[in-house]
Amino acid sequence: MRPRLAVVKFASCDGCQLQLLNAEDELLTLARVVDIAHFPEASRRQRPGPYDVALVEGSITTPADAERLQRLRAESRHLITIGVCATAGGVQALRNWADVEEYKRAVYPHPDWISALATSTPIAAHVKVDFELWGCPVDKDQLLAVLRALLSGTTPGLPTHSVCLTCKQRGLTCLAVAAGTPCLGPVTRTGCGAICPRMGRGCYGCFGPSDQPNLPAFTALLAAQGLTPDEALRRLRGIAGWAPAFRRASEAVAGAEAEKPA
Amino acid sequence: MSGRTRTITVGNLARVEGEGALHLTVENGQVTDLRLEIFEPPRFFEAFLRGREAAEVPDLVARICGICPVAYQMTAVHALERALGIAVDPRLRALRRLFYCGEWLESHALHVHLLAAPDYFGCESVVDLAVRERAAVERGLRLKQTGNAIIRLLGGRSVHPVGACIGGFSRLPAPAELRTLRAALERARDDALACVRWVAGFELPERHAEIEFVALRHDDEYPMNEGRLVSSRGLDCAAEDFEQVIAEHQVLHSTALHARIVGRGHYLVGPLARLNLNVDRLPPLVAAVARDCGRWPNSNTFTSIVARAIEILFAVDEAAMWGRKVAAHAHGAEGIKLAIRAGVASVEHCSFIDDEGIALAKEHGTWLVFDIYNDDYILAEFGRMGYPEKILEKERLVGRTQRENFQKTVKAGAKIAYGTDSGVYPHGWNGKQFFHMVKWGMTPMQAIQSATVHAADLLGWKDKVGQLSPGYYADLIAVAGDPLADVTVLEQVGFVMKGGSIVKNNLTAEAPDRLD
Repeated sequence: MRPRLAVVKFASCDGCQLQLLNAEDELLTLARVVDIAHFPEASRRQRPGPYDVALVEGSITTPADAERLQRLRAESRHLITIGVCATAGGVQALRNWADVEEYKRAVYPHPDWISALATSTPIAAHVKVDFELWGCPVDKDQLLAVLRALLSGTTPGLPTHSVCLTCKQRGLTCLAVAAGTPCLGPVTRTGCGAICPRMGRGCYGCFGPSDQPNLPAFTALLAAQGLTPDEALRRLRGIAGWAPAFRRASEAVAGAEAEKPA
Repeated sequence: MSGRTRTITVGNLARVEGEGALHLTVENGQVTDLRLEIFEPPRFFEAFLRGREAAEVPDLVARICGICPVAYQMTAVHALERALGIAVDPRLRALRRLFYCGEWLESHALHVHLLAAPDYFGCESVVDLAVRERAAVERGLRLKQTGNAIIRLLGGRSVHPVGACIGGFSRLPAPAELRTLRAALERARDDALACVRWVAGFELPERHAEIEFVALRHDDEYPMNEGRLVSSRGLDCAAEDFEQVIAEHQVLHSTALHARIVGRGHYLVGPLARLNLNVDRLPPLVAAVARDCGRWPNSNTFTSIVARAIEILFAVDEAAMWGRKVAAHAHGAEGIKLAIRAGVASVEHCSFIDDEGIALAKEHGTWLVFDIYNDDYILAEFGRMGYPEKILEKERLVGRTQRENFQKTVKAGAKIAYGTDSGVYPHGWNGKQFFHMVKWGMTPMQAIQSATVHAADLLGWKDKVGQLSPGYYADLIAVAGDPLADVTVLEQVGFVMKGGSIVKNNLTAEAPDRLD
């Protein structure tokens, strides 16, 4: 029996599940080795669980989605989050520092018709997660590596170090040191291939925090590079701002500002 | 009564972007209720963008959609540039169109092959479709892959690319990188043509809708990133007047706002609308294919899959212009400089090139091709052929100036390739230019290399011809004498080998037929 795969979406942009369809060379092979039981973006066959592997995209932002996630967890042997929304709340977690009721009023003429939780939270805040894959979007090769590991019964092993090491491996000149460009590379998880430095710009942290990031040193570096506390705050509160390490760092910056004498 | 009421509910629409459901009630053959319920949770982009720096916006709005991030990014970039009064260089604008071509290819190929086509074959998904239509699916995946490669080249990755920014791109691709797309794009042209024919062969229902089509329209391009907002019922306004002519409103059953044309009603956008309103803006090849596969404009919304396939061909056609070498034939000093600045691979003639032009060519690595022999021929023959003295007088001036400028260029060390404007004089006399190139400043070896290694480099064939090395074509000539001592011996070619076979040999009686 082929393992049964479900691809499930919550609040998200579809970009991470699209990476499966972007595996143009591997897609048809993948469909042979697993039974794609539920993947609405790809197929109108939507079979009920149980599933061997559920790939979960998106964060939890509505009461209905919170319930749907509980049901999914109950019928999934391995639940894997794919991407920063599912793993850390996503860009829509920027509401977590704001008032969602005000947000509703800003966007909708009838805010009372809109059902939305006050926060956007990662899957792991609600249910047990078996593996978290970072990235906005996830890297296609990392996604395939995770599936390959699961199918062969091993634990996916992916690097957790910072983007800095990838820059060194690729022989890229350090933007932060050489040009004084603010770059989240020192505290951001590798996996993208250091594309921002390769494209001549600073990393903006879309793969979330690396393992054991030194955020206090990093925020001091941003200040030394001439960023105001507000600018530093916005850099930390981006795509993966609700990831615990980034969140603690941005709240520390905000707290220090609030304590300053007027 | 209840027996005549039918309710259709699709709880989770498949093979679409995002999440939605469809509710349909039919009573006595009449649709009495139709609701497209978009239950995609709101993510409040409009709200959290407030207070962000302008430069952060393109990265944030890309996250609205993983399938079409370029459209969101570039719309934000255009809006912010307009607000800030920034105008971009036409070359950057052209690269942005290439970026869009990448997304159209990726997104359209995905839509046609993975989302829409399975329905026309009764298949649940592209995986099932691949069992029946393997070649078409593989072709579609290749087209999608080519689109993704274009986005990656300019944006680092295909989903949420990072290269586009206010003012241009954070990094520009080198010409050699653009040329890496060539092979894929040549194949994509065949694939796109086959795709259009495949889709045009589907049995499409004939259902004409009374609907207003809305799209951009540009003065002289098939619209992508610029133009006026026009419709099939006479709407015509600047894009920034959108909010005056389109009103958004909220409905109870959907988190997506609905939009209507003020004073009228719903409207349709997308490939069918765009093609309907811009069929006269298609380039010739694409226009011919479009005419072959349907009638445009038309109001059968089922033909939007054909329109989408035609736009795939359009995107390939436009993208394929990149990575081509451009040769500019120019005599005048200003024209030469404009061509060099525009990035041409070579300038032919170069008669009145000035010092600035020579310096620019050196800076840009542009090849200069001076046809400095044919002045001799023209002055000798045109008088005899009865050309008026005025023309001969001009030729004397042009010819002399061109040779002096050639000499300056040699001294300056700009790149020169051998080219003679053959055809002005009889073919076969091409070698007569060596004499003049040596007379006006080159060593014989420099002149020979301009016709061999350097000319091959200009043509993009330096790995195949132009030198005698392993793996290269065995193309060579031999002459009776030492051209380094007297370069005019190259005017009498006694021996020619093409691809290892001797095609001419007047030099020796006992030459082998083949060199192994």
